[in-house]
Amino acid sequence: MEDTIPAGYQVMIVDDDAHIRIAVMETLKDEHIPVIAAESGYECIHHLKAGFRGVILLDLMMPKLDGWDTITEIIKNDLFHDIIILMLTARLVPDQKMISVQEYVFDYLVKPFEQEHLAEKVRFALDFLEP
Amino acid sequence: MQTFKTLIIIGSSTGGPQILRTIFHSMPKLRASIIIVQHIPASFTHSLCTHLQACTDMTVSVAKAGDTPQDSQILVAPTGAQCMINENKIIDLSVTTRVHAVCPAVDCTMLSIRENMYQQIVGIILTGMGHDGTKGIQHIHALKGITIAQDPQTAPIATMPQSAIDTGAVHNILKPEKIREKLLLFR
Repeated sequence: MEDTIPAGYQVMIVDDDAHIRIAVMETLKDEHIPVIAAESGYECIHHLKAGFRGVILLDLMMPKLDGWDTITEIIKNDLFHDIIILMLTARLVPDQKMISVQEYVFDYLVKPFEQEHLAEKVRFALDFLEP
Repeated sequence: MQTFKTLIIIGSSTGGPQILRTIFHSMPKLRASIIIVQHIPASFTHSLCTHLQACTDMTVSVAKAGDTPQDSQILVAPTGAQCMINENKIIDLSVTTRVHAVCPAVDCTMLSIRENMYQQIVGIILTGMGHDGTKGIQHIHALKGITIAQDPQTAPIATMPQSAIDTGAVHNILKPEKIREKLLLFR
């Protein structure tokens, strides 16, 4: 299955909850999708500056820099290249902060998620990235 | 190609690309012109066209200023301009201000439609955050067009279709598969 993923692309799970990071990494590894983890928005930005390309699964509620602020920082630092952002959140209805960055949010997944559903969403997003 | 008589305008935001794939899956040529206004970063507009083209027999392309929409054609509004239709049925991309914090906003496309321009007008609001499409769907309703909202229970984010529904101007609240069936009536 790994050969169906565009070369050089991977997935980054950004979540301050270690249990979620581990669950997502195991789910995607089972699907042969390469994945790395970041425990904060700052670490996500660091990976982007280091050249990460692919799909970012971004938790909404994180201390200091939340999901929306992380997106704002990505845009401000001109790092929105070859990435797709999927929000991963426990909130059924996002707050108003989403309005200003909504065009950068490709999809919105509510926790808890089913393994199959997550993998399908990630594969669909990866497919949108140019090879 | 024949000049189109039916115009279908679809507004979509977060989670929309996958919903659009469901709607246009194996979609044959329709006797209608479709304009899709998807809130998406500019770098993915062409990718969206490529994905839709793989689903349907209709011709899919990014809308350009001066285009005249045709039957069996899907135009995807480019990011960074409001996709409006002037009275000569020509695409106008000259306005670049954001509306509802987005550009393009489907409200701008829908509100640019004038009476008697088409035999039939259809307005559809899919998943998304906020109120884009709410005024537009009321306008399409006032022009005696057909108005459809995605069933909010099937939307990754329900506020955009719910906001349209709350106006009382939506004729049909449908799951994506049923929206597809509705569009097939224009074969």
